[in-house]
Amino acid sequence: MSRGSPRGSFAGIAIALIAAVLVTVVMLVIGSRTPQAAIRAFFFGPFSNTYYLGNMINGFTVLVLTGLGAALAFRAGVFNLGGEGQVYIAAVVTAVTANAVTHASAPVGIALALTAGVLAAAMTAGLSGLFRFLWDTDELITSFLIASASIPIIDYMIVGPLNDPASNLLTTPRIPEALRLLRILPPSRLHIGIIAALAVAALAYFLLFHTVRGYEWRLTGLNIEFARYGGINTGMYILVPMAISGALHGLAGSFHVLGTHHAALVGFSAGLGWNGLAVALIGRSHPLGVLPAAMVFAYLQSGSRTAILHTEFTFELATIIQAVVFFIITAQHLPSIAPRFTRRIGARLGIRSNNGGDS
Amino acid sequence: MSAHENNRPIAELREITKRFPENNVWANRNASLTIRAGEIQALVGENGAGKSTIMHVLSGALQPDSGQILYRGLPTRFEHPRDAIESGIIMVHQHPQFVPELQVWENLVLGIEPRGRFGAIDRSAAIKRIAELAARYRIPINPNQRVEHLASSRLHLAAILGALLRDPQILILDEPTAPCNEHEVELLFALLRSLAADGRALILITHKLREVFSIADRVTVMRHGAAVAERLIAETDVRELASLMIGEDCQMDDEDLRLLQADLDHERDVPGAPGTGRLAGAGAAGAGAAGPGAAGARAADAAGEVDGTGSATGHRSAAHSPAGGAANSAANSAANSATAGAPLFSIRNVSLYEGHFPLLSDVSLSVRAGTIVGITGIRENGLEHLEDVISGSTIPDSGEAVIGDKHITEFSPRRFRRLGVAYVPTDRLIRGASMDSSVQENLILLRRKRLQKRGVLDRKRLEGFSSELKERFGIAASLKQPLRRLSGGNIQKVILSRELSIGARVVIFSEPSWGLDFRSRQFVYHEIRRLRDEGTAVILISADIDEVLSLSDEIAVMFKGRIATVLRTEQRTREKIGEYMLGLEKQEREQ
Repeated sequence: MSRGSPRGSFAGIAIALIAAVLVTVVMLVIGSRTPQAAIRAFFFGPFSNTYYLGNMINGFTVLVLTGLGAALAFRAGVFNLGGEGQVYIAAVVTAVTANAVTHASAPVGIALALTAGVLAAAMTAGLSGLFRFLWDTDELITSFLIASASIPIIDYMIVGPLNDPASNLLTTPRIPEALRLLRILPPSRLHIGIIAALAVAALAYFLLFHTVRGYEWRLTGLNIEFARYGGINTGMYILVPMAISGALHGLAGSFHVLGTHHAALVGFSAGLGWNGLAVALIGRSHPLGVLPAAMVFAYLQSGSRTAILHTEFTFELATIIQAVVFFIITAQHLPSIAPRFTRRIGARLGIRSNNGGDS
Repeated sequence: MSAHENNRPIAELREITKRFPENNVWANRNASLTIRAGEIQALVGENGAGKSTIMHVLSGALQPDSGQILYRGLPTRFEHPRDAIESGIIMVHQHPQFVPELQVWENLVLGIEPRGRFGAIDRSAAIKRIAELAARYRIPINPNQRVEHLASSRLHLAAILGALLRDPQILILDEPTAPCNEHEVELLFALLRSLAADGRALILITHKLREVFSIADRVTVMRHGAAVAERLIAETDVRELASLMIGEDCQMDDEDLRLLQADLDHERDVPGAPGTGRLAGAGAAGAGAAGPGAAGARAADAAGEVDGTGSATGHRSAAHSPAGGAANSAANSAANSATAGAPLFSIRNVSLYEGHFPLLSDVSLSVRAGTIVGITGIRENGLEHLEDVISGSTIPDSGEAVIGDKHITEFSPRRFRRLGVAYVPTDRLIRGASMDSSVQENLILLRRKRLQKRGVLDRKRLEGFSSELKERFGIAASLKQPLRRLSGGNIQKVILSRELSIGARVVIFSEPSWGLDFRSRQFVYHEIRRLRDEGTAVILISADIDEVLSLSDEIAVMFKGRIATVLRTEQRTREKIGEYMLGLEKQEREQ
């Protein structure tokens, strides 16, 4: 059975990486008055101490979860563009729950807070799946719209009713110490959520490529007409993958509160959903491809951060570097990704390939 | 336009070799081919013989590993189909691609739009040019029609019209007659003849030897990637071509011989001497075809058929003709069905509308165990809608299905599947298979629930199951290969083996032999008969009269969304079916 391995020639990947490094160096030389220091900070900064290293790995955790969330939806042929909102919703629900269950024992409290957050996100994304199932609305649009609408509402909640009066930051109150996840590599923020993220990746791989449901899942994504013809309940493989995609984004959000920041900061999820989509694309929607893709992304983010902190390198330039590297790496995969996307986008514009059905 | 040895060669392919490294297949091995202006050259060979590949090389879609193309005497390289088109070499593919929502003219001028003021597309000039060409070559295509409203059989005509806009010197057609009924085939052939008369070179890739003899001036046989023989059509016959295609290394079994014999019989049925007479006769029919006498031309064809059969009754022994063979088996199954009792599958009073327009009107049909019910008709008379309904894909506006003893009004493929209905669809690339999945993933679709333990797929059993199917059905591919890389015949074998793997009580076949070569077709027919003999209820939807005649015990003929008649053994002739296909009122005009 084909496992849809995240293949692609090693030479191609190497060329893409070398090109990415060269572009980054050029950008650093152009954009910094102390290019040597900037280059050092960018490339070696993430490894210079446990704080940076741990935070990079923690960033990796988040990207793995959101990347898997996006990838699992892609595999079923559905698009979840609302990841950012789902992460945010889960974070707030987790924070509120954690602060409400102070009398529970630590394991129960953590489980409750986590479940609440994940469920909230799963339901938000599942709603788009349900709409598609019931009324054939486009989940790509509805997931995006629902997320876009919920973000300002949550902003308001964090700034308003849920705000921590004891803090100067725009944040919810910090959760009880008992409910905070165990930290690895202090003083960094890396926590044991990383183990969960890796386990989820392994589980997703097993689900997709070794189970009947995974087979039906992928088949629905590859050719929904064929899946229907084979007697697969295709409606379920729209709804469930959306909900699971939301759940994984939710897990990222809950971990942010329970492990990373111990509170939901206003706007912290900005860009997280999109980065997840990027990671899924680079990883070819393969659970095991998502891991290295998330690693590269986390390294880039962390390198930019150290470069910004240690030199007068600007945030904008760091963003440009990330975008360019993303471009180069995806271009390498474009021939394999493009057909599916153009087909999908084409379908939205009403353009079908001619053998799509007898007229 | 008859062929002469001294027709001017316009292109030469020399020692073309093309290997596909992904599956290590030598699609072409030192294949050499000469193309002459003013000729219709047929390219025949079994599936995978390399016909399409060498034409893709000529038309710039593929780059050969070695070998040379001489075009107008000069060595040429086409890096891209665009280069070939600019030089006047155009290939019309097996499944022409259009943007369905756009009108015909918009599709056809893509890339060569006539420009008006301010660089805007000059719509009226474009339409005028297309309409002129269509009128000149009698191509019944309206440039203002939207492509999605074109019958699938007209897509090739539209594609040829598009090619003509670019004034090709070499026009390559890949299986253009697959979706056509007989009338449309004549229309197409008349067009090809007038194009050849212009001095263009035409290449026709086909599986149907009968077409070769009615249209081609010259035929090239390909086998295992090389061109093994070239013959003037007047100097060869079906037997020689068939043996060239199959090669001496292959043993022909009885079934093969029977089909060959049937083909030969059919050739003798055509009135007139072989060679010139055949061409002249076909030419006459073609000339009438494009005009209002189209139905007449088809009727004349049918009449010729009757004459031929009449004069040939002597040598048409039951043992050798397909219809005779079917009559035998029909007699057997008539005996079966007397004891078989209730039908296994039926639909009752099914109607389907598009707005107020009836696509299917009050269609009822039932199939008993051990019988094959053929459904035929001219395309666009409801065959495809009936296929959608009886496979559960479309819910009809009224009527019900009865499968076993279950009455169903909420049709869905899932329910039909659960009640033991297998289905080999017309549309293989979308509905019948997942082209991006591996052979194995396509094979296990209907058995996925049995090859698991607590939801986990059992790899060993998966592999055992699929290698068994692969072996039994002779699928020439590895199990891991994506289906996209397989030839049409092998894809159909994958679909067939999957559908037959579940021991279904009811099997629906729709156009099961489209695009298949001689032996694959034989294989499919053999399997269909085997199913019937094992007591399966078989429904065969096909626009190919010969196919339906040779396989079915009962034949339902569709006309304008209704079942015009159901013919049983004794009343069946090609002619009779043809009359019902065209609607009975046209029968009178014929006399």
